[in-house]
Amino acid sequence: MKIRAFITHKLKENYADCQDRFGVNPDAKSIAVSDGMSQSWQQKIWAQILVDKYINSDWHPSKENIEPLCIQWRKDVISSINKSKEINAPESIIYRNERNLSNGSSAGATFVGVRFQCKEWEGTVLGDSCLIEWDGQSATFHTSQEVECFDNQPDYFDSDFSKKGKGIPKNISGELKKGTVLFIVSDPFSDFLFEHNKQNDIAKYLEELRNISSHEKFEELVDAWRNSGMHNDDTTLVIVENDGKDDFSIDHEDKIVDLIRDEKKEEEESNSKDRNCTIGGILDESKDNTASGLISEIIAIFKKVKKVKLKNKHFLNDALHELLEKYEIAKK
Amino acid sequence: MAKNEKQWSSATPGLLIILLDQSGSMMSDYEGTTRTKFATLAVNRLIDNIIQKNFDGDAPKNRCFITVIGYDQNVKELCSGWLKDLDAHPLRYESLKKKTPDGAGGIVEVEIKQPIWVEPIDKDGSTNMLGAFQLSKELVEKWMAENSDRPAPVIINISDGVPYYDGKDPRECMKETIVLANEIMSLSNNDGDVLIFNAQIDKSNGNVVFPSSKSELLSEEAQFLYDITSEVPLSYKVAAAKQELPTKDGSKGCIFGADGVQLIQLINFGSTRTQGDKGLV
Repeated sequence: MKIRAFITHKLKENYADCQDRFGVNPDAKSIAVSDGMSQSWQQKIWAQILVDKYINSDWHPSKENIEPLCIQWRKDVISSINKSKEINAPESIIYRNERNLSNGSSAGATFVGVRFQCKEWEGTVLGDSCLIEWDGQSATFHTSQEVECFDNQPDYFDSDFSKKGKGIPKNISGELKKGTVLFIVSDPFSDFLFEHNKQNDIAKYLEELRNISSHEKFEELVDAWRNSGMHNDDTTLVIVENDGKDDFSIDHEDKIVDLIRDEKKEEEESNSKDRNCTIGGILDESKDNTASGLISEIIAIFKKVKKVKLKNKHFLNDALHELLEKYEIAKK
Repeated sequence: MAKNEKQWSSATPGLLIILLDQSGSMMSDYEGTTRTKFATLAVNRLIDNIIQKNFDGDAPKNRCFITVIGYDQNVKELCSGWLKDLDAHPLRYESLKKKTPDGAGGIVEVEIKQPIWVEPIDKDGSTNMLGAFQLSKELVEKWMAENSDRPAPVIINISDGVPYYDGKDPRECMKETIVLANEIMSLSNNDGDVLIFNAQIDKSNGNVVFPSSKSELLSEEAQFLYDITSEVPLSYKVAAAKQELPTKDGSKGCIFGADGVQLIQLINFGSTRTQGDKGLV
């Protein structure tokens, strides 16, 4: 099996903000994707626990089997709070976490995971992350709920055992036949591709996904699809293709830890733009709307890219879009 | 037709302006405290709640710029900032002890901090509501000129009465303020019209929530606030229901004689419809 796996964050956010997680274990032949829910707390830790447990053990995702993971989440959260105290993190970050812990706040995350035995696969899905089976002619969407019912309250696992979460995990299975592809995706792709399936033009989009070869190409595609209506959210894609062999061969795998580290380095090396912290900033913001202002800002951006050899393509894209918005003269 | 449906996000941040009456009458007793303490408590809680909702454990996301403008005879910026800035720089913290489960069957006492960005007043003054709306107008115009795809700004005005400034007849002040508020409510971007919601911290008019007709209001002061309030857009009605605020056709986003719960409900309603991220049930 040939595997490629990609992840990116919301527009104008960073990898450090990304609440999706995925994992691939070639030894266990297992893959999992989890999407931490925005309006919950410490969802990144929760999504990571779900993914790691699934790909590194024979854990079966169900509401009954979730308790040990909930205990692990609480332990990890407490450990993260203690670490932030040790490194003298800002006071507000510490007390917000402590307050959430004492208030019984929890995390929610959707989940999709599959394990392979030769070409046959079995898995579990909960929420609006989904597995799409594509045989070149038709697409089958494996979700725990009707795609038409996707909204801001999808099914999820809750990191607090007593809260039960929402929905019932659905067991799924199939066989990866020659010429068939599996796409394991988080919800922006689920929504967008389901719409195109209804419009009978999904083949074009799935073939585009199938041809992605690098992280940069993945980001380009996500940008383009967002401009065509895909919603702006953290976005994950794992492609599984039958290459005639039973073993996993990983052609590409984004590592969120590396992406976060690179991005942090870039931020440290470039002087990130200060945002307004008074209304004076807003009122003065658009004063210099001249051609010379625009040119000098473009030069500054390219100097920054050259100087630190920025790897994050979003930086250039976002910076130039910001200028387009700011300068009337650029619009003209 | 634009429907005020766009949600706050890092790519399309929102602008929330809170206008806070700081005239001398705000020092009167109200709901077991004073009007000024009552209103500032609600504003501090609102800012804290918005930051908390956008806090994932590492940092708040900058999905909104909040500014609080106070007005007596003068108009003052009391606090402003993106969520990260506000979170990092409150004026001070208040501490309180709370008993809570320790997760292992026991109870522990923990210290909870409440950040404070806005303080109650202790000096008398007049009510330059017009000046506060003038500054708001300037802000929303600049904000929308920067990017017309952002969510339409929301203004929440918390007051106990009517405008009174420069020694003018209050009726003249009301007229001028109505004209200006209507100008603001007619400003729009791709998302919809700028919205103004009002809370009156005064029980003399009884308790009226989201009226749909001026005839539901007896006093001239209440009718003035009705005139400077936006109709609740359809897209906000779900948020109103979630906050247990009853709406009907033509309801305006104003509450008169608001108690503590209702004031929090109104400002939550005005600010959380636009925070539509995925949440837990």
